[in-house]
Amino acid sequence: MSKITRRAALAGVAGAGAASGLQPSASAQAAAPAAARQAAGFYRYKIGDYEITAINDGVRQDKLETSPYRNAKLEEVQAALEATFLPKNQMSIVFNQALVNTGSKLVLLDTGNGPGRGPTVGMLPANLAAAGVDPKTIDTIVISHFHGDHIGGLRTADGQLAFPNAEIKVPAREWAYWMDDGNMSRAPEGSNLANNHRNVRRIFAGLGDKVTKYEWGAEVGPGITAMDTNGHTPGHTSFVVASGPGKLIVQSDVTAHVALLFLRNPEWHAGGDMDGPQAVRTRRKLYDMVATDRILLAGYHLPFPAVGYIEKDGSSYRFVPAAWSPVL
Amino acid sequence: MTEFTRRAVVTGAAAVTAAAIAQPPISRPARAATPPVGKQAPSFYRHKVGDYELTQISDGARTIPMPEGFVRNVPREQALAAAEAAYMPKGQVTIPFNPVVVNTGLKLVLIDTGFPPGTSPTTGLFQANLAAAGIDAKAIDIVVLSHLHPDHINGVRTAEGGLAFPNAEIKAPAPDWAFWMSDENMSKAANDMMKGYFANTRKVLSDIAGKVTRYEWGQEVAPGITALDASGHTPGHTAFAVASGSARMLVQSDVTNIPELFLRNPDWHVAFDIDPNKAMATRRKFYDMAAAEKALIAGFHFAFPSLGHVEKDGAGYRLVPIAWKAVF
Repeated sequence: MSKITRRAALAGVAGAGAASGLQPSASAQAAAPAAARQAAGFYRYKIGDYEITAINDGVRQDKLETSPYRNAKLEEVQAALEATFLPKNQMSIVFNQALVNTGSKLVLLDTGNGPGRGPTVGMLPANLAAAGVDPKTIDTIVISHFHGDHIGGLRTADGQLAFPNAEIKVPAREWAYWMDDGNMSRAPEGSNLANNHRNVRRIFAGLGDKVTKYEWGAEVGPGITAMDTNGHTPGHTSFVVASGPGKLIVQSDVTAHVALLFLRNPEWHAGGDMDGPQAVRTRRKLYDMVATDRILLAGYHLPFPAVGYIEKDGSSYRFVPAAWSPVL
Repeated sequence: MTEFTRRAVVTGAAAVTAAAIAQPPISRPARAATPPVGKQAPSFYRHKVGDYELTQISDGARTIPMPEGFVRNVPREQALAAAEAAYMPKGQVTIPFNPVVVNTGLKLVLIDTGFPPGTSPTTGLFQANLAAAGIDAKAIDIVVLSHLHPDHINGVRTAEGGLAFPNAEIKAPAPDWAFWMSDENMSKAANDMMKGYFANTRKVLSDIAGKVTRYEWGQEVAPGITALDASGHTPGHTAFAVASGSARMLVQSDVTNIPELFLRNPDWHVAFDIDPNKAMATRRKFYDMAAAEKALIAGFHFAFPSLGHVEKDGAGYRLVPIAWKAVF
């Protein structure tokens, strides 16, 4: 009631002001301006004694005009988007890295898109800064596979190393595949495959002595073990992060693109899944395991903060985000 | 492999071979390990409803051993099993608290307040998160209370007892005000919990009663924000529809306490529901409507960012949390 009275009073003042040639006070009625900015994309959680920081590299928003999936029709993709409460005519592909502080090493798993790939991606450096992490303090970069959205962030806009003090660890099989001249020559000119071959060579040019190749089963950081999840690419790798009783699986691209859709439709083949049937087998094997054992999972292309649980739902799966903890 | 060797040398835990000693370390200069940050990211999240800019703000969350009688009409074991199935720590229940700020362009409106700073290590975080979101508490024009339980009203006060939002009009649902401010009702309080609530309401609001406007259901409590009868939880418990252009969001307040238990099992009675049967009827009506119109719902006790859609699932409902938008 008092509000209406106050407003009426203000209106009265304004009226009087106009009549007397005075301007009404704008500040009395102006609302606080919109912030028009999202919160910084980082989130912390603990696995045993390890401190994990989920970092967001941004989102690529593609108009949905044709199906991006080899074995799904446009209408099926649209229906799946709607069932997931996502906009029907847009694909939002999100990118999330995991930073692991083991107490002795600061280990970054994958590096995001890097510079020059659009205004809404390549946000890893800004979000690292927001999280108070100096790129120079990162000891180890572990790459899961060689797609551009995972390796692009190794370089800054001027071609320097984004993490100058870090050892870079890459899957041996991935290196062997993409660095093979025969494989490169067989990629059709102008294809994504050919472009990716070229991008891999650009990123890794001159880094020979900084790059260590790892095998599946090897420890790539303290308590961080590389796991064979090939299919998406020939050397595609997931990671088990273990500290005390805590365990996290960092799946990388076991589901890629709009990952939520592949949980609901695990048989679909994303454009980037180089061996579709093998990617499906890997997906089912990993998800059946984490669902049964209720293991926490971080997914590169799941919505930020991209950590949660997988549940079986008939022959498909459901992602249950871990409840955000407002304190660490 | 180099990792293991290096670690062994640094910690001295493993046998150091003569060869390792003989060879000087070839790695980059040793750096001290980066300490963990030990602090969560600010917990706020921005989104738009039509032209309105909304900020979901966490006041924190409380994880406690599930109290006896937390769910009145099912055995404790059954309630605990549901909590554990939802990945809560064994034997415990987590209850988050999330007020919402709506910037209508004309008014900056806060719906519910959380607790004052310092209430506990994991609650009373609202003011800090509000500041992190760049919102000045003095700029809030209207504080709308959904009902007069402590977690919704206590944050009207600062830790020292002053007014937390000194320039805001405070609006309370008329039926709740009448219920909690009635001496007759207070004298009939059936248990310590209810006695505590009556005392708390008076402690927080009595001496500022002149600043509190009472609103009725069906009224606009702020531009585009309509009060909806959602009684049962308390006699004046109110939900809100926030509408701008063709977009609409429902602010459910406490139509359910934590969704993991009471949205999945809408017939369960949380200890805090004053009229449990009416609360149950309200719940079903509200979610049937929300599911049918695929409405976005903000839930005070949903995990941050406390937004989602509801779908029917057998006799109950399922909350599908929103996908975080990295770019606003």
